Parts: sequence; structure tokens; C-alpha cells
Amino acid sequence: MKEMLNAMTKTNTSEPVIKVEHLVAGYGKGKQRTTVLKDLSFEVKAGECVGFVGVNGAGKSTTLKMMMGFRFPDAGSVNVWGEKAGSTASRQRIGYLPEVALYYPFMKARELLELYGGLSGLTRGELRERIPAMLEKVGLGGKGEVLLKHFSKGMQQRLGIAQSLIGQPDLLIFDELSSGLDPVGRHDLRVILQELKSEGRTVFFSSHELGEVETLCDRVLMIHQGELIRDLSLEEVQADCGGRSLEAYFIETVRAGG
Amino acid sequence: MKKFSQWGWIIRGVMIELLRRQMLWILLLVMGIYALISMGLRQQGMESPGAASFMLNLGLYLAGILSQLLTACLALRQFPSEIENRTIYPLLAKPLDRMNLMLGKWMACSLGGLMVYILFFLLAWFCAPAVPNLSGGMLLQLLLFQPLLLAWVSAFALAVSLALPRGVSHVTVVGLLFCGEAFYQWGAAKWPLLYGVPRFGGVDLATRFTDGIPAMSLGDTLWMWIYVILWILLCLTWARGLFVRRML
Amino acid sequence: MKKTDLIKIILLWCLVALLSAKVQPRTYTGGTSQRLQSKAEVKQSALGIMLGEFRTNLSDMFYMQTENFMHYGVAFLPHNHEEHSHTSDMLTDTGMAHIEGEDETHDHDHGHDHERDHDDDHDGDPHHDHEHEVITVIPTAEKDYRSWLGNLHRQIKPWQAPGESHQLARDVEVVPLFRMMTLADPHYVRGYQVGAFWIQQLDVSAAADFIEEGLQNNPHSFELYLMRGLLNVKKARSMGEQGLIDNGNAAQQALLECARGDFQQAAEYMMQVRPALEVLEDEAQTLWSDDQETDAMAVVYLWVTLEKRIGNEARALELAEKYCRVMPDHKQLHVLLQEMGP
Repeated sequence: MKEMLNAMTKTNTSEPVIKVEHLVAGYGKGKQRTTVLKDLSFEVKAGECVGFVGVNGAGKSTTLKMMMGFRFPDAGSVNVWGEKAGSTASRQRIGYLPEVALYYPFMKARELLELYGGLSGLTRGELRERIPAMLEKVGLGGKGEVLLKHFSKGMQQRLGIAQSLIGQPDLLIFDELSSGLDPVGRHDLRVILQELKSEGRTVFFSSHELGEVETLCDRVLMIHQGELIRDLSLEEVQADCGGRSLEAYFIETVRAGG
Repeated sequence: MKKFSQWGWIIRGVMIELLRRQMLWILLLVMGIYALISMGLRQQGMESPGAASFMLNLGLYLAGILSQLLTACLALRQFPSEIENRTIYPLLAKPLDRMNLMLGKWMACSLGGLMVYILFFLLAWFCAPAVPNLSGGMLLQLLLFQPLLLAWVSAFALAVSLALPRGVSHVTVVGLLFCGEAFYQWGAAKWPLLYGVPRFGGVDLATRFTDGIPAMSLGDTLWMWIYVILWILLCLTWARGLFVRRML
Repeated sequence: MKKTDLIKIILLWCLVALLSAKVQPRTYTGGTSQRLQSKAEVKQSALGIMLGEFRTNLSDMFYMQTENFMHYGVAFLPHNHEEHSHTSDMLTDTGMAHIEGEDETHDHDHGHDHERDHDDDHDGDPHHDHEHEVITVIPTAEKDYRSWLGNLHRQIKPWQAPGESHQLARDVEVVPLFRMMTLADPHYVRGYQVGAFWIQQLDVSAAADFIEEGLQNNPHSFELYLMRGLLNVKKARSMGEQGLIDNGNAAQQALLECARGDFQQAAEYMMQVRPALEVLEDEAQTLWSDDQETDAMAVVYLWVTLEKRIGNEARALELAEKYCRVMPDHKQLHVLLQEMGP
């Protein structure tokens, strides 16, 4: 009941959860400096599920890192939950899954989730209750006492999803969501995301799997060479595609240079 | 309160790492070999006080340098491997301040080193032959400065690991651990720049203790204490400067 | 990194650098590895002892190498029966490699030639036979485990006739050994002392530099002050015609003044470390070596003679009387005192 109430209050707010304004960012120094993001602006509202798509090097991961405060912009601003991106307050309600992470090989799955849960502010009682359920949810039931050095890449990714969900965040940011997952894993992940959506949580993810985006998202953001080239709702996408798949539409749009 | 809880979780993580990595067990093996030799000699009976003091000094020296080495290696690995394996992202995605993460890592490495030191110290103390005429005050000073020294080593290693590439940082820290004091003694008079070399060896009072030297005066103790505290502050400021605004 | 952070770091670093001089955990004297007395008095860390001993051992090894090199050369063939028996004595003392002379001739062309010459020279000697033993620094091929490396060594260091000189190698060849032994252990006073002796035969100022380095590493060594004094005297002599001292030559007098200062300093430091007479008689072996006593005697004798030479007769007499009491066995000083006495 409490969760339902929470979900309702979250979805009802009109304040954008993520607000990116005129974002400019790059890599390197001096003459070697390459601009990756050029005046990027968009908003994500509470309860939305937004797919962020683009070719390799388009600036997806950089944008996500800016949202998390891992990198700092050259110009422009990113606000999450009304706070400056990267501030502790902004991260209070975020669950983040990095593109590829090799979790501590000397830890057990349970210990890892305890660490991340503990850092999210969960009590030991809450951790004891949530960890087995979370492991079960991501398909790692019974693997809690296995050292992570014995985990495959796909299992690591499942664990990554579990760590991002452990604190029951209101906003989920996933970088390359289904990277390293087998078909069963992808299916499980879709089920989880549907569940999160139905709970009213905001989901923002980047992916190369456009079928996944098409199935799950309410909105699609297309980025190309650091600029936003499309910001469409699912209905608009379907209308624009004219019976073609999102993948075909995306390839055509990118080839046309946006 | 939340900050303390987060430090606690970071410390727990580092302790698990300490216990499950090979290095601790290798060092324990070295200490075990020392303990066996020392107990064997004790069993045979050591008449010469010089030999007994030699064995005790060797034990305390090993306890000190091995725990410092372990602390340094633990601290040197923290940030580079977090960044390399990308585990820094999920860590910093939690409501955890970068400064708090750094302080947590620093405390964790220092505490890990201290626990190992206590274990090794007890091994050395109980296995080495009894040495007469040792100063209790000096022992107290030795035990007072050892945690500070480990905290200093840990802070220095964290800062160096953020400033230099992995291999270079290891060589620098381990080199200064063994030779910092020797560099100072050798060249500070000629090159004043060497006054700024971290003198880890100078704060390890094990030899002074086993030589039967009386405790340092309050003034000397205070100067040494301020020296180490300032070094710790310097290293933490340096590490903060390198980490808090770092692009990840 | 922010500028404010950088400023804080620089300020803190300056502070710790300033404080560093205040942190002196070793307020007690550090030990030197050379002196027996220091070894007995000063304790060090276990690691320090082990490394120190290792360094001293290394220097000792180099020193022994110089002894072998200078006295035995690359090979020593006994010239006559007397030398033969002396060599045999040495063999039993040192335990060095020994071989039969006859065998040796099969291995070395040079050795064979010398042996043959040697035999030719002593055809009439009834005591001479081929069974005499030789000491060799470079072992023969038979005894040498180094294989081709040993062959190479023998090739570049052929045998030399022992009758030609007591020193069978050129003195310049041992200089690198002294350099190495003092690098291995900078407290190896004997290395500096004897090294400077050999170097001064080639270049006095280079020897003086070597001694200066030794004094920097061992500032309280009376042996090195003695050596520096001797070098100053030598420099003064080299300025005068036919090595004579001229009382009117200011440069010579200045150097002699320096030498006097050195001897005085040497005597002062010597008296600080030389055990009291009664201790010396009881524990001479552990606290004070024969070499040190010889040097100590040389210090006072040279100081007294120098004072006399530059015209301070009264001071010389006073010193001679003082040190005759301190060193009752110093025969030369007693003779000098008798000569000077009223």
C-alpha cells in the first residue's frame, strides 16, 4: 500500500526528474580537445521510461556520466530531482548501472549487495530481507555465497542490475542495459523493467537494442554527434516509422545526418 | 551518523579484501618463520643479551615494515582498481560524497594495517627472547606512533596512487618506505629539498626501544606528533585535490 | 586540482620540511662498522646490523684482494728453498689454493717458461725439486671452476717472475679495489687510509681528495687525520728544492701548519677512543687493534717531530713527556725525548 502511494505521488509530479540544459562537454586538453556533447538539452518527467539511443561515440555514456556527477560539463547544466547532478542529495534516489563493471572478485554476491545497500542507507534488517529476494529477481537465486571471481560476464551484469535496484530508487539510470546478457537474461530484464514502470519509477537508459527500446519505452531520445536529433513519444515514433521497425528508422535517420 | 555508517561499510569492504587477498597470508608466513626461529632459539636459551635484543628488534622491525608494506599496497590498489574495473561508478552512484569515500578508504587501510601490526607485534613480543632493561615509556611511544605511522603511510599511498601511474606509484611508495629516512640522513644537509622527504623510518621507534634508549622527552614527542599529523593532512589534502574534481 | 588546494599543499609541505629537522629519532651516536670499540658500544637495528656486516664483509673481501694482489701477484713461484718453506707456511695459514709446480708448467705457457728458466738458474741447487708448492691468486686451469672465464683471466694476467719485485703488480691496479671497498662501506677507514697511501704515489692531490671523502664519512677518525697530515707534509716537501723544508718559504710553512693541525686533531680523537692503559692490557684484543696502536704511536711521534722541526722545542718536549706517560711502550718517542731532554 505504502509503495503504491509512493508511486502515485511520484508519477503525479510535473517537475522534471532530469533536466539537461545546453550541455557542452568534451575530452582531452588544449588542441587535443574533442567536443562530445554540443548544446544538448532535454527533460525527463517522473514516471517516464525513456530510451536514449545513438551510434557508438554519439555521447550517450558521457551524458549519463554527467547526470551522475562522474564528469563535469564545460558549459550548461544537469539537474536531477531538482538538485545539481552529482550532489549527494541528487543521488539519494538514483539507481545506476554502469556499462561494464567487474565487481570485486574477492567478495561474495551477498557481501557486494550489502555494501551497496549499506551505502544507500539501508539497515541490516532491511538488507537481510531484501538481498535474497533481489538475487532471486535477477536470476541469481542461491548464488549469494559464491565469490564474484567465479561469476560470468552475464552474471556480473545481473548482479549490477541487483545493486542498482537494492536501494529501491525512484530513478533508474542504466548505461547499455542488456550488455552481456543472454536471451533469457534480456527477457528477465524486460520483466523487471515492466515491473518498475508499473510501480511508477522513472527509467532512463541507453541501449543499442532498439527492439528493447521499442517494447519498453514511452519516449525515445536519439543523439548523434553530440546533438539531440529526435525527441519522440512512442506514438510519434510509430507514426514516423510508418510500419518500419525502430531499427530501420534509426539507421535511416542517422545516415541522413539527423 | 549516516557518514559514520558509510565509513563502516567501506571499512568492511576493505577488510574483506585484506582477508581474502594472498598478500596477508604471505606476510603471515614470513612472520611465522620468524616466530619459529625465534622460539627455537629461545628454547635453546640465549645467553647473550645482544642476541636477544637482535631477535626482538628483528621481530619488531618485521612487524612494523610488513604492516606498513601491507597498508601501502592496500591503499595503492584502492582507487586505481576501482577506476580500472569501473566499480567506482556504482559506488559513487550511491549517496556517498567523494570526500567521504576517500576518507573511508583511508581509515580502512589504516585500520587494516593496524590490526595486522597488532597481530605481528604480539607474535614478535611473545616469541622473541626476553630482553632486560627496556624502557616502558619508549614502548608506549612506539605503540603511540605506530598507528599514526600507518595512517600516514595509508594517506600517502592513496595520494600517490591518484597522482602517478600504477607501477610508478608502487615503486615510489615502497622506495620511500624503506629509504625515505636514509635519503634524509644522507642528503638533507647538502640538498635542503630533502627535508621534505617523508621520513617513515624516522617515526618507527622499534630500534630505539630495543636498544634500551629511554623515552623521548615530551617536547620531542610533540614535535614528532605534529610532524606526522601535518604529513597526514598534507596527503589527504593532496588526495582530495586529485580525486574530488576528477573526471571519471 | 584547484589553485587553493595547490597552495594548501605547498604550504603544508613547507611546514613539514621545516619540522623535519626537529624530528630526530636517533639522538644517540650511529655506529661505524670498522671499529671494534664502536661495535661493542653501539647497538643498531637488526637489519642495520645485517646490512652493515654484509657491507663490511664486502670491504674486507676487497681488502684481502689488495693484499693478495700486492704481495703475491698473480702467481708466486718460490725462488729458493727458503722461499719455498715460507710459501708452505703461508699455505697452511691461509688455506689458499696450492698446486705442485710441475703440474703448473703443463697449464701455462708463461708459467712453463718461468719454471724452465727458474730450473736452469738452479741446476746446481741440491734442494730444488719439482715438488714445491705455489700460491696463486688466479687458480690453474685444473683447479679453476670458471672454465673459459678462468682461461680468459689467465690470458690477461700472465705469470710474473717473483724475483723482479716484492710487489708483483703495478700499484695503480689496486686503486679501484680501494674505491670499491669504501663505496661498499663508507666507514671502512682502513680502505681510505691504505688507499690514499697508494694513490699519493701517483697523485698527491687525488689522495688528499680521497682522504677528504673519508673524513666526511668518518669525521672522528684519527687515522684519517694522521694520513691527511702526512699528505700535507709530503706536499710541503714537494715544494722545496730536493724535498727540503725552507723556513723562509711561506707556502711550505703554511702546509706544515696544516699538517700540525691535523696531527693535533688526530691525537685528540685518538685519546678519545684509545682505552686506558689498564684496560688495554686486559682487553687489547677486543677493544683496540694492533694497527690502531701503531697508528696512534705514529700520530704522537709525527706531531712531536713536526713541532720540533718548526722550532717549537718547548712544546715538542712537553708533548713528548705527556705521550711517553700515555704510551710507555713507545720506544721511538722515548729515544726522541732523551735526545730533546736537558
